[in-house]
Amino acid sequence: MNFQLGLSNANLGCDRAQCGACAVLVDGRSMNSCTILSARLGRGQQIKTVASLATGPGVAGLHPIQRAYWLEGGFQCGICTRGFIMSTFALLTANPKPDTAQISEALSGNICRCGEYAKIFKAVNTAAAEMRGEKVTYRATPVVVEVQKVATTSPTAAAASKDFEFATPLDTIEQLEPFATAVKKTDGIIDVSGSERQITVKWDPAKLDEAKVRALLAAAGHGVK
Amino acid sequence: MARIEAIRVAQDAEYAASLSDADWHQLSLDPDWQQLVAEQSEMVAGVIATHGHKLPSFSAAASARPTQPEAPRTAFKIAGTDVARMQGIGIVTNLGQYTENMRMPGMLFMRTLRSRYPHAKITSVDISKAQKLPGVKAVLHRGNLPAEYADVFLGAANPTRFLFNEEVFEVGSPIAVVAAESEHVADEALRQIDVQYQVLPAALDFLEAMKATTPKQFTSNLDGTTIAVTPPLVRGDPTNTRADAVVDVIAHKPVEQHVALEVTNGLFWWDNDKLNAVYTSQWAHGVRANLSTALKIPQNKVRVVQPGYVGSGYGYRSGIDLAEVHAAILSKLTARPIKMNYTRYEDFVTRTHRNEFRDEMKLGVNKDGTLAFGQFKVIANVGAQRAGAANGAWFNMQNLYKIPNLKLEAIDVFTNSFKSGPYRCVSHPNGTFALEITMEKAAYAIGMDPIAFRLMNLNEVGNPDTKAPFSNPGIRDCITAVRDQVGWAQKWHAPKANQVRPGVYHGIGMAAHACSHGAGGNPASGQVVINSDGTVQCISANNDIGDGQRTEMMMITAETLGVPLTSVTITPYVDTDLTTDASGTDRDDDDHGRDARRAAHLGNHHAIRRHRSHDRRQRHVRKPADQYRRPRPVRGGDGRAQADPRLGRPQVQRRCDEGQPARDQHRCRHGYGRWQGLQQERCEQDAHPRRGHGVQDLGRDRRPGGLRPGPEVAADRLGGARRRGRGRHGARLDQDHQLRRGSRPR
Repeated sequence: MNFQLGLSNANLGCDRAQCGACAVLVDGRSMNSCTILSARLGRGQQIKTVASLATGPGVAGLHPIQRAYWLEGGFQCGICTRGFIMSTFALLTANPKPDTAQISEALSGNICRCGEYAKIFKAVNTAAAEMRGEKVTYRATPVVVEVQKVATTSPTAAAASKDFEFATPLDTIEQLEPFATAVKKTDGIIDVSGSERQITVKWDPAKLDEAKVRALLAAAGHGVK
Repeated sequence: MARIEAIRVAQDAEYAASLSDADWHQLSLDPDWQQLVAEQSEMVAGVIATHGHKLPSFSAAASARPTQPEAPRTAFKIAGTDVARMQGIGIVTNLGQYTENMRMPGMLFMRTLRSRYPHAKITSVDISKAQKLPGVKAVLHRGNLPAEYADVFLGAANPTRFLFNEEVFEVGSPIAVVAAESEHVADEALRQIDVQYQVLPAALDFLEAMKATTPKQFTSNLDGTTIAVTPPLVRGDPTNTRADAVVDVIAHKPVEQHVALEVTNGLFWWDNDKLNAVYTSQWAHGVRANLSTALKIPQNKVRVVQPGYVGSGYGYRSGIDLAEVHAAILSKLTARPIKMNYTRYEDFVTRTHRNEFRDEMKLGVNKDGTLAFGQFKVIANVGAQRAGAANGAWFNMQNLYKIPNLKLEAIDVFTNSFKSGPYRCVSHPNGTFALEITMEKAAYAIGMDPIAFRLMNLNEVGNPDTKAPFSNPGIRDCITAVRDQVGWAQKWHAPKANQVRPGVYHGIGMAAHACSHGAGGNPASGQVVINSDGTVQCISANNDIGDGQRTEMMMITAETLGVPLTSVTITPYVDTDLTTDASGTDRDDDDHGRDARRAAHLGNHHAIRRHRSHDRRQRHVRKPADQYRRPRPVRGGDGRAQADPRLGRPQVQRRCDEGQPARDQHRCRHGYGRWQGLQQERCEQDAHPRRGHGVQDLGRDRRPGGLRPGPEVAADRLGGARRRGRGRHGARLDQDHQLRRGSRPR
C-alpha cells in the first residue's frame, strides 16, 4: 500500500508482525499488513484503513475512535496509533461495551513503544461510550482555529457602505491590499474592498459617518473624490 | 585541522591536555561534545574543571544558577491547562507524514552490505557483478570512495570508525552501499557483491576482554580492550572505615536496544549545492552539524528537516550513523534523491544501544541507620565504539545519599559487539539499579524500613565533592509522596514475612533516582512572528517526537503575549534553514526552555517572567556573531541589531577582537555556564522602541482580534525599507513596510 500505491494509511513498524503499527482491517478483521501478501488475498476483500474512518474535516469530522485517541492523549510518537485505532475499530464494531480484559485481548497485537497504554485504554472506553451514543467529555481540548469574524466591533446589519473613487488612482492593484488592511484597523471600519480606481468601504454608522470615512482615507494616504 | 574526538577528551586526560586553544574552540562547536555536556555532564565535569577556561563562553561564576522564588501557580490562563497535542490530528488520521512514507520523484533506494563478522579485515570487495545489475545506479565501497571522504569518521577513536573500514570491529560495519531504482534491486545487488574477509579474534565478553591476556585491537596502555579507566573518586577513607554491617552486591545489566517502531530512515537530496535531509531525528541541528562535519561542507550548506512525526527517539536519534553520510554522498554522486531505509535488523544491530554494566557494590552501614562507607566499581561494556558510560553511573552513587567515605571506580571496556550511546538517561538508571538494590539490602541488614532509611540518608544539599548545589532538591517530597500514595505503611512488611505459596513471597520495594540531565543544554531559542492580521506564528527548533513540546511552545507564546491560543500556530516540523538551534527533544534546558516548559507544566508564572526578562544585558545581543565581525555603528531600525552601547560591548565581540572568528550561536550551547553572548531571544515580546529588530518589536494590543502594532513600533518600521533582502525577516519586514507605505500620505 505504501510503496506501490503511495499511501500512508498504515505505518510500518517492526516489519515482522509483532507490533501492530501497520494493522488494517481485512474484511473487518484486524491484521498486520506488513506480512500479508496481497496477491494471496485474492480479489474482493475490503481493506479498511484509518483513512476511511473520518467523515469530514477537522475534529468534528473525525471518527469517535480517532477523536478519543487524540483528545485523551492515547499516543506519544504516534507511529503505532493508526494500527491501534484499527484494532480498536474492529473491537468496538464487534463489542460496543468491552471490559478491560476484552480491550487488553483485542489490543494485544499492538505495541506502543512509548508506553501510553493507560491513556490508550481510556481512549478506547471514551470512544466506545461515544459510539454507544453517550455524551462524553475529553481530557484535553484541541486548538481549533476559528475563521476570524471581521465584524468584531459592530453588527453587520447596521453597516453602511459606499463606493468611493480615488482622487488619484493607485499605481497598481497590489497597493490596495496593504492600504485596505491599514484602513480596516480603524475602529468602526467593517470591510474594505475595491480596485486601483475605486474603493468600497463598509462602516459602522454608530461610530463613523461618510465625512469621517473620507477623512480617514485621506489621512491613510489616498484621498477620494 | 584534525577533528577533535569529543568523547576522548572526556576520557583521556593526556589527550585533553594536548589540545590547543584553537582545538578547544573547535571542540566547543562539535555536536558530540555539546551532547556530552548536555546529556552526560558528569562525564565531562572533570575535564571542564581542568580545561573549561579554554572553552569559549565558559564562565564558572555563571554556572551557579540563581534560585528564584516560586510564584503562585494560579496566575495562568493557558499554561497548565490540558491542550491536545497539535500534531494529534495528523497522528490519528493518515495525514501526519512519517519519513518512512515520504518519497520523491526519481528517488533511488539505498541498501548497505554489512559485515557478518564481529572482527575481521576486509581483504577484497568485488562489486563488478552488482554494478552490472539493471537498476543499479551506484555502488560505493572503500575502494572507490571519493578521496575527499577517505579520512571522514564518526565518533572517536579507538578504533576509528571511517565511512568504510578496512578492519571492521562489529557485526554490521558497512562494507559497501548500493543505490538502485528499487529496494529489491538494491537487495539483489548486495547479494552480488563478493567480499573476502580475514576473520580476526573478537572480544565479545567484556569481563574477558578487560583481562591482560586478551589480544589488543588498538594501541593502548590498558589491559586487553579496556578503553578507559576513570581516575577513582575518593572521599574520606572508604577502605579503613568500620561499619556495623557490610552489604555486598554485584549487579549486572544486559545490553538494551531502543527498538523504536519507526526504523531509522531518511530522504537525502542535493539542491543548489546544498544537502537536504528529511530524517528521523530528535535534534535536527545536531544532525546538521554532524552531516556538515562529515561531508566537510559548511552548516549552511546542509538543511535538515525533522518532520515532527518521528517514530520515537529515546536519545539515540540525536546524531547520525555512517549510512546517513553514505546516503548523502550517493545522492551527490547520482544526482538523485536517496531514500535511505534501515531494515529492522540494521536498526537493531547498528544503531546505538545502552551499555552492558557490571556494578560491584560494597556498602557499610551502621545500626543507627547512618551510612559508613561505600566502595562502588562500575564496569561498562561500551561495545565497538568509544562511548563513555561507566562513570556516568556514578551520579546517584556520588550524590543521592550522604556517604562520608566513598570510593568510586569506573572502567569502560571495548568489545566487538554493539555500539553504545544514549538510551533514556544514558547510564544513570544503571547506577540507580545497583545502588538501590544495595540500599534496600542495607536497610534489611539493620532492620530498618527502607524508606525511612533512605529519607534519613538523603543528600539534599548538593554535590558533596564539588559543592555545587542541587537545582532541584525535591527528592524528599518525591519519596514521601510515593510512600503516602502507594500506602507503603500498610503494604510493606519484612522480607519473607508474607509467603504467597511455598517458596514464593510477596514483597514491595522502592527505588529513588536523581538525574543530572535529560533536559540538557543551550540554546533554547525561538521566534514569534506577528502577522499583519494579528495572528501569531511560533517558530522554534524544539524537536517534538510526540511529547508535546511544540504544543507547549504555542501555549507559552499565547500565555506570554496574552492572546488566545487559537490565534497561535506552530508547525509540527523543524527545518534547520528556518530556525535557530533549540537542542534536542527534552533538552531545551537551562534558563529558557526549561523554565518555559516548567512553566507550562506547573504554571510557574515567575518562570515565564524570567523567560521574558532575565539578564537584560544579554538580551541586547541578538544577532549571530558573524554580524560582529565588522563592527558597525548602532543604527536604530536598520535591521541589524547591535549591542546596546549603554550596556557595554558584548562578550562575543571581545572574543572576535582577540582574533577568534566567531561562529554562529552553537558555540554557546554549553551547560557549564549561562548561555552567553549570542542568544537570539526572539521570544522576547517586550516592546523596546530603540531596538532595531522588527519581528519582535511589536507592541501589544490585547483586543480579541489578537495583536496589533503599538504606536512605538511605527518609528521602528520607518526603517523597514532598508531591511529589504535580509532573508526571512527581511521579507516579513518588507510586508510591514508596504503596509506602512500604503497607509501614509505621500
